[in-house]
This record gives sequence, C-alpha cells and structure tokens, in this order.
Amino acid sequence: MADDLGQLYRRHRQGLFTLALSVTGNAEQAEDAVHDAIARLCKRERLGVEDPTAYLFRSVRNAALDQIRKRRTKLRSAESIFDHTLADPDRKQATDLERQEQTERVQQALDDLPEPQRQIVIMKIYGELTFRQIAEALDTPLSTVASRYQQALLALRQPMESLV
Amino acid sequence: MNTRHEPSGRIDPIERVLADQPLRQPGDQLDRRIDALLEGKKARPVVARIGPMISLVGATAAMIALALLIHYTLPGNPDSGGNVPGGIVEAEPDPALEIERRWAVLEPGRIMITEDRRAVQPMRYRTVRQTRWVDPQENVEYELTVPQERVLLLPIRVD
Repeated sequence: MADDLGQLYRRHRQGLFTLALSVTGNAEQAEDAVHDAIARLCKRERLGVEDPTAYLFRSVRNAALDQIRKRRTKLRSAESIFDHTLADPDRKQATDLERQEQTERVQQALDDLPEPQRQIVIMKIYGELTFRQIAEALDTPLSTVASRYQQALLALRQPMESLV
Repeated sequence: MNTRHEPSGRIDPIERVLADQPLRQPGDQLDRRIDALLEGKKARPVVARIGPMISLVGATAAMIALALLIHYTLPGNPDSGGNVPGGIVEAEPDPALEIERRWAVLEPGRIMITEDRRAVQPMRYRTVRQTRWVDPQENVEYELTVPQERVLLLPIRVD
C-alpha cells in the first residue's frame, strides 16, 4: 500500500498542497496538513475506499482544518496559493509586472469567494478532480457541488472579466 | 489540467485563466517527510513477518522445552532426579510412599533481548508436587507440598 500511496501523493502533490494552503492560508501549516494526512493513511493496512484520490483530498482537507483549530491565534493567515515572484526581479519587465498583477487579481477574486465555493474551484481546477470526486471528498451531494461550482464561476466573471 | 466543464466538455474562459496561474510549490522538505513516512510504512511489514516467525520459533522451543521437562520429571524415569528441589536426594521408593498429585504449568514470557543482543524466549515452568505418605507404625499421615518455579531462557533465531 505504501507504493500506491506514494504514487497517489506524487500524482496529486501540487493539488493537495494548494488545497491545504487555501484552507490554512499558511504554507508551513499546509505542508504539515499534507504530511499528517499521509501519516494517518500510513497507519492503515489498506485504504479500503472506492476512490483513493477523493479520500486523500478529503483527508488533507480535514488535516488542514485541524491545523486551523490548533492555532493559538484566531487571526487568519492569508498566504497566496499562487507564486507571485517575478521571473527576473531585477529586470522587472512590463510583461512580468502585468502577469504579477493578473495573478494578484485572480487571488483576490478567489479570496472573495465563500469558503465552500473556493474549495470546490481549487479541487476542480488545481486538483483536477471530477465533480463526483469532489462530492465524495466534501461529503456533499453531487448536485450541490456542481451548482456551487457554477455559482463560483459566475462570481469570478466580473472581477476577472478584463483578464479573459 | 482538467478544466473541462462537466458534463458538456466546454472550457470556460474563467477556468482557463485560473488554470494558467503559476501555483506556489510545496517545499522539498515535504517530499522528504512523505518519503520518510512511506519508507517506514514499507519497513513495517518486515516486522510483521518477523513477528509470527518469532512466535513460531518460540512455540516450537516451548514444545521442546515442555517435552524435555516432562521427560526429566516423570516418575520412574532414571533421569528424573533433576527436579528434586533443593538438591535433596530422593529415597528409594517405599511401599508406604505415595506421590499423589503433580501440577505443571508452562508459560511462555515476552521475548527479550539480552545485553549481548541475543533474542531469548523466557519459559516459566511452574510445578506443584504434593507427596503424601503414611507411617504405619505411628499411624500418622504426612503431606509435603513443594511448589517450584524455573525460568528457562531459550535462544531464538530471528534471521
């Protein structure tokens, strides 16, 4: 099972980290969440679930929520899920600055989404999960997931209109 | 990236913009931590395989020990003087002497590692020997109960 878990992690490493980072708003806690989720799964002899990918995302989300509960302060960190660093900070070319600004606007638009919608968008776009997998990961009806996703896209359309 | 808009398969421009954003990467440290976890997970079944093997070897050793102990403690066995407590030499069987009861319990203990790093299985062998005889001249009945406990350390091979 370690090999299966290893392959699953490598395949979804970025998506898992991005989901955890969007929940915790802190890169260190996001890594801890991914680690804790895998550690919990390692204790089991076999996963014994229909969809291991959905289960792994669910585990990481739960571990990320645990990280928030463990915080001493209730202040929410707000580290971006995007990489805002410039390709060459010294040169600061116009295209790079434009790109950086675009990324910041997308991040702001995502931050303004309600939490359930944001998590669905992240699992869909960056985790590459199907609606069915997202529904399983969030323990939410499939129709609810699909409609929340549509609502999220509608909500993102206005702030991101100039970027399309 | 799977940005398909289920179920129609059409890609929404918003989805495309989202998918095009550069994502923050997890650190290499995370990969190392996960690798360490998974390595530990792989190593665990080896321990699980050794466990039953130790038990099997231990059980076999216990059976051998039990057989040897029974052999050496059976009444009438020429070697059975070994179980007399306190080095007392048994007298010649007397018609008045009667060994009535003997209880024996063999309990395997937890496997231990000795200071010189050998695995040993402790076997606790408890016996109670009750001897009763009658002095026909005095018409007195004597009873002697001797509890005894021995711990044998049986070496075990785990490789």
